[in-house]
Formats: sequence, C-alpha cells, structure tokens
Amino acid sequence: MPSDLLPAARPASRPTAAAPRGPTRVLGVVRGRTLPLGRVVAVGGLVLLVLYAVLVPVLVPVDLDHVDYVTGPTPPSLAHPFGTDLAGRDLLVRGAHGLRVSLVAALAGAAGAVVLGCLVGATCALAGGRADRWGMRLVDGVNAVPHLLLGIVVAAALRGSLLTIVLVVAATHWTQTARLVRAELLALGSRDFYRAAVSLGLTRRQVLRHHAAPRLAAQLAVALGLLVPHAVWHESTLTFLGLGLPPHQPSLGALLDLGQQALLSGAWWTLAAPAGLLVAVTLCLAGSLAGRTGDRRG
Amino acid sequence: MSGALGGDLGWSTTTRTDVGVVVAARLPWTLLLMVLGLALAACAGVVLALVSSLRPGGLVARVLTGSLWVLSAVPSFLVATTLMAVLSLGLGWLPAGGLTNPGASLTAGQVGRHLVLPVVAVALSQLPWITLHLHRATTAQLRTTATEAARLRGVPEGRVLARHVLPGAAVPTLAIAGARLPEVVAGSVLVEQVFGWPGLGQGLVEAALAQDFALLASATVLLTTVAVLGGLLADLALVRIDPRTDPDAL
Repeated sequence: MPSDLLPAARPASRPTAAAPRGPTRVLGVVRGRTLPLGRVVAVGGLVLLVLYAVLVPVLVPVDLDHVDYVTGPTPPSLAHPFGTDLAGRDLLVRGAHGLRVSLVAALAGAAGAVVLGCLVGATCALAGGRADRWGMRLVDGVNAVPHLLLGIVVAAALRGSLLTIVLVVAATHWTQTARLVRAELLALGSRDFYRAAVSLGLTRRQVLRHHAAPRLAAQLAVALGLLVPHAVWHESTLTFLGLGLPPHQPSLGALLDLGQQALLSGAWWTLAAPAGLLVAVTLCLAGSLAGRTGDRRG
Repeated sequence: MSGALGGDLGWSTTTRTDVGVVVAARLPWTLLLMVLGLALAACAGVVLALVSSLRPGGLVARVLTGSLWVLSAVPSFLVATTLMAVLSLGLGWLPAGGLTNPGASLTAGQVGRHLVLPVVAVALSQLPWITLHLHRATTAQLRTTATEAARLRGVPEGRVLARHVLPGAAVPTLAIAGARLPEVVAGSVLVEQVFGWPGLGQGLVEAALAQDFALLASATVLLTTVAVLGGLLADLALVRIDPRTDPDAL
C-alpha cells in the first residue's frame, strides 16, 4: 500500500523553493522572487489569449452562422488576418469564439474532476478499511483504461454537448486528485502538529478545517492548473472525432475538424489558425505552471 | 457477458456482421501501426538522446529539448494532419490515407507506402517523452563512475555507450513507458482516424458515431487490454535489464 502513496506524497507545491535551475536568463526580481523569462512569456501569452477570446466576440459582433459563399475561402489578409473558411466566415472571430468555448469547457471539466477526486479521496482516507480498498481499486481500474477511449464511450452514450465534454473530462481525470487527497490526508496522520491537535482535544472536523484544508488547497490548485491544458486537449480531440460539441458551435476541435476537411481544397490556413491557437494555449498554460510544480524536466 | 467469455462478442449493427469478425479483421492493422510507430520512436529517441547528452547544455541539446517540449504540446491528430498536409497533399510524395490505393490489391508494396505516414505520425507524437526521459537518464549515466572506469580501461566509446550507458538509462524510461502506453493507444486511435487506417481505433470511433454499442464495447476492452499487456511487457523487460526492480525478489 505505501507504494501507492509514493508518487503523490512528495511535496509538490513549494512555490518559493521552485526557483528553476534550468533557464539561466532571469528577467528581474520581484518581491525577492526571481522570474524566469520563459514563465513571463507564458503568462503574458496566456493573458493575451484570454483577452482575445473574451474581447473579440464583444468588439466584432457578427453572426457566426452567416455564410458568404461569394467571399469563399480567402488566405490571410489585412481584412481577415486569419483568413476565411470555405463558407467565407472570418477565422479571427470564429477562433476567438472557439477558444472561449474550449477554455470554458476545460475549466469546468477540470474543476469537476478536482471536486470529484476530492470527494472520493477524502472518503477513502477518512472511512478507511473496506471503503478505502474498494475506492482505490476503482481508481486503479479507471486509470487502466486509456482516457480517450473512456471519453469516447461516455460521449457516445450521452451525445455531444458542452455538458458532455465537461462530464467526460471530470469522469476520466478525477483519479489523480483522489490519490493526491488520500495520500495527503493519510500523511497528515503522522505529523506532530496533527497529533498535538488531536491530543489537545480538537474534533475531527476542527482538525480537518484548520490543518488539512489549507495544505490541501495548495495541492488542489496545482492539480487544477495542470488539468486545464489537458482538458483543452480532450475537448478538441473529442470534437475533432465528431463526438464532442455539435459542428455549428465553434470550438477549437470543431474548427480543426473543418480545417482538415478544407485541406483537400488547399485552404491550409483554415487548419493553421485553430491549430496555432490550440498549441499556443496549451504551451502558455503549461509554461505558466512549469516552475510551480518543480516539473521542469528539460 | 457469458456470451462474450464464450467467444460470442455480439452483433455489430453498422457492419452487419459478428463483432468478432470485425475485430479480428481490424486488430492486426492496429498492432502493426502501434508496434512500428513505437519502434521508430524508440530508435529515434535513443539516437537523439545520445546526441544531445554528449554535450549537455550545448546548442544542439537546448534546441532539441526545446523543440521536443513544443512538440509534446501538439496533439497527435494535429501532427497527423500536418504531416498529411505537407508530405501528401503539398508535396505529393506519399498517399494521404487508406490501406491501399482505391481498387488496388493488398500487396506488401501498397501497404508499405500507405503505412509510412501513419507510422511517422505515431512515432512523432511519442518521441518527446521518450527522448526527454532518455536524455536526462543518459546525461546522468554518462557521469557515473562506472562509465568513467570503462573509458579509463580503454573500452571504445561506442561500446561504452551501448553497454554501459544505454541499459542503465533505459530503466527509468521503461518504467515510465508502462504508464504511458494508454496514451500511445489513444494517439494511434487518432492517427488511424485521420489517415483512414482500417484499424481497431477507427472502428471504435465509427462505432461511437453510429451508436453501435456491441462493437464499441469490444473495441474499448480490446484496446485497453493491449495497453495493459504492453505495460506488463514493459515491466518484465525492466526486471530483465535491472534485476533490482523485481518485486518478487524483495
């Protein structure tokens, strides 16, 4: 059983201790912390992408389903920086809408996964005994099935919608959080301050609230952050396969699907625009968090 | 369930045949694609990791690890579509999809030509983690006293790399490979879908789109089994290379 705990039980979040050794270039020192150039670029890019996703749909109010076959597919130009798709729709605007839908789906899905994982992990750790054993075997079982396959099965059973995507991401990714929470709670039992609190006569509820919750919150924030880029990926993949969001709702996956179909007619920019957005948002999300987890493996 | 255990997997509503027949026709193509893709990724990963770890922190190593990090952020269906756009639609070197040209008979030459792009796509999407883990392990392994001692004994450099550095470096990578195999399976599902490769993954997606639950269930279970068995294989190989990892020996 201890082998279960090892990977999750290491102290993953020590924000200040994580001054990464890898990148040598340092932009500046803010409040005693050094800021690596890579992270600054990543956070800046992320802010820009979110602004783009939020502001463009507000500033350029066009009918998304308005089809203009007279324009047809045009390569990137000043009027349409990302070009237009086969039906003459501007990809800059559709990309912003798509990014917004994808980000919302990813955030909701990741939040759902963390909440579900928290519930299962806490139940396992607090109930112990048979509930713990069964819960952890369930975690192992879900882990053994490739996420995408499980997602395809769930999406096929529920039919595509935004809610389906959120459910799929939550249903396939709660296991890491469950193990994390369980390990953290079990590790707490051997800490001196926990024993002191118990011997002082604090109730279980008080101990959980004052000692477990703050420690868990930091871990969960990192877990949530790491899940979001993965969830963006899941949304786009499922939609690309035709199982996620309906085609008329522009998400990154739907745009990529249309882009792949348009490739055969030589309109490469219909694929390049959403593809670039997807890669950029994944890199920026991951890069903003890289130092926080000590996860710089390069 | 009892039927499934007895060999009767049910009736596939989309293909109007036994699920067993569909699966038996598709599984070999999936295994072929996955094994070749992983083998290519492993070979390329070993070469790249060795090249970059000879001068850690050098320009080659930095450019290589940087671009691999970026590549690891690109979903495999994007890798596949990009390959298709450039090599097949843009340059016209290789066929864009399918198992053979339309109407052509099933010959090794035909399949081989159609196999290149899917295999490269699978390999490219698995290359980042293999190379990055190997790179780190070889860099550490090159600095061990065992390696130094071998060099001092006058063992040729190629032999040092092949016999002293690589086996030790392969251990952590193999350990991770077991956990990574579900992603390999998922990646090959997407590659099959993009290239119209008639494997189990494409069958799975088609079954899901057409609500063909008998085929969907069988394909999911089989692909999961492939992932789990692959993980077992990785663990067995691990014990063979490094007997210290044998759980029974504890």
